Amino acid sequence: MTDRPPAEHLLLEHLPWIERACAALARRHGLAGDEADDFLSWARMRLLEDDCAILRKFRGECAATTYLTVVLATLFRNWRVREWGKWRSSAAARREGTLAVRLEAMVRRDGYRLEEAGERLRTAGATTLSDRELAALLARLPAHAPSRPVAAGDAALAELPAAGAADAGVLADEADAHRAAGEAAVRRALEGLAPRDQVVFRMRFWEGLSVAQIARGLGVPQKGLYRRIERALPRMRRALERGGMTGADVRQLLDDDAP
Amino acid sequence: MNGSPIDPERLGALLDGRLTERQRDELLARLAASDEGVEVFADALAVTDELEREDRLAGGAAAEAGVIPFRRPARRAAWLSGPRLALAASLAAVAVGVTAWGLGRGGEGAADDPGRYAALLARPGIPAGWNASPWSAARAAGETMDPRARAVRIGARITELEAASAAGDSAAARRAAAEVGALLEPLPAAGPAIAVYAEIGRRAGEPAAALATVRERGRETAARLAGEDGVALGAWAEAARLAAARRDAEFFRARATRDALARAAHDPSLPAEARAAAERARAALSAAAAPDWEAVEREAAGILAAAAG
Repeated sequence: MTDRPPAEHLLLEHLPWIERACAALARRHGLAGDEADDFLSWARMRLLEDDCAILRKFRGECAATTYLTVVLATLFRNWRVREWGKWRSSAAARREGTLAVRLEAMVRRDGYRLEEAGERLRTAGATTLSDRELAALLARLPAHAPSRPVAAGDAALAELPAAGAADAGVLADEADAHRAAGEAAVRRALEGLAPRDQVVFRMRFWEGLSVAQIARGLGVPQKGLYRRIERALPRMRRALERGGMTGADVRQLLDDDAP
Repeated sequence: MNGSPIDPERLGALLDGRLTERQRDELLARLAASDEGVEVFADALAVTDELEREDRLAGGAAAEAGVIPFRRPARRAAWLSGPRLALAASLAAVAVGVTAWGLGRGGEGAADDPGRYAALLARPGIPAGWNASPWSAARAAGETMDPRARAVRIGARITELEAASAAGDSAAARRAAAEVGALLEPLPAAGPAIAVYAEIGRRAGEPAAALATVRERGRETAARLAGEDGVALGAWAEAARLAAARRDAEFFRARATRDALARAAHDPSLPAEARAAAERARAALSAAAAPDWEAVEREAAGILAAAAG
């Protein structure tokens, strides 16, 4: 731990970087407007806490900006869990881009109807796509239910299905059970891979990063990484199918058409 | 899959390519068992990638408009707080582009930190009686020196500065900082960089960590002014010499070292003697028995002599 350079100096010197990194994190996870501002304010407060305790831990083993980026990514995770619980944008949405991430968050996390989400996105200048085009985009993303309570006014309550729709709860339970079984199968399949391959697969298929990005992050040649993924994919597919996942589930999970 | 939290600085070192192969493998094993670790690492990587792309675009647009880029289009954003205009002017003196030694880990033009080779050394410090100038003594740091020779010498001195600082050898650190300053002197708009090395020399007695940021600024600006390719080559070759002198096999197993050696052997812009010395060093390292350390040290010195002479 060091007091030099002073933590406050480190903070002030890198404020522009902190703001840019927070904005990039917000874009990656579909935050916009007040939500993005809220995260930035919260992150800055955490960095200032306890006389800049986080920054005083910096030992200089990596670039200051890299350290700050990792710290902010950690803070974002904490903020996300606090705000949204377990919900996070899907890898498929992140591969599609910012619009898909925001659309997914509004519909799947916050419970907006598609046309409401579309209206809000168009009003904010985030898109010029029609509801039909947005629906096509949403259809390309995996379906999962919002995992936090949604603030609902009278209008929203009026649109809720009647209590007589008793099978809705059963269907939701089945979907949860299917999802849990899928997650367990994925974990078992991953455990069959070497540690480096586990990280590569998670970053590629769950975090939505490109092979070029992963190669760079791990400091390995991109070409070799492609080969590594190609070699491990069939094993992964077989393990997932043995774990009870359907061919369609596996294809959705391991769809590798992104760059 | 939720292991104990991973040190963010360790993840940062992985992102910056500052870990040895063994350290990297250990960290990847921990990451494989940590949902949170992978998520944070992926986010940090995606953000770094996006911001660098923004910077490159900003740099490219500025260049197209005939404007000198204010920010470097590369991964680290630490900047001198001094006269930025002079620094920006100095950037104009440096060719912008992707070159063999300047290629980042992703091959996207991100500049390598010349300090990373010293960070790979198992033991810090400069051995007693070290011949710090294996190149021709006929040329001093004056204006007539070939630009690449100057850059290679700066790189070598940067490695010595890093190694000496890490070992708390203030005299050697002061000396290396002074020599970097002298080598920078004839370069246009080098004032801010020279001031940084003067500060490093003045504060050489302080703990290494206290000067980490200042040294990083120095490395960045020196490499920009003198030429990233040559500085990287010099920094690596001097670190290789130190590693060979200490039988540091781990240094030569690191990917960054293997890549550097391969580049030195095949870079057509290097003198033929330097390429041949790199080939011989590779052969000495890949011997079936233990490496021929004396040969490796001799050939690393040969690379420096040919490229910085």
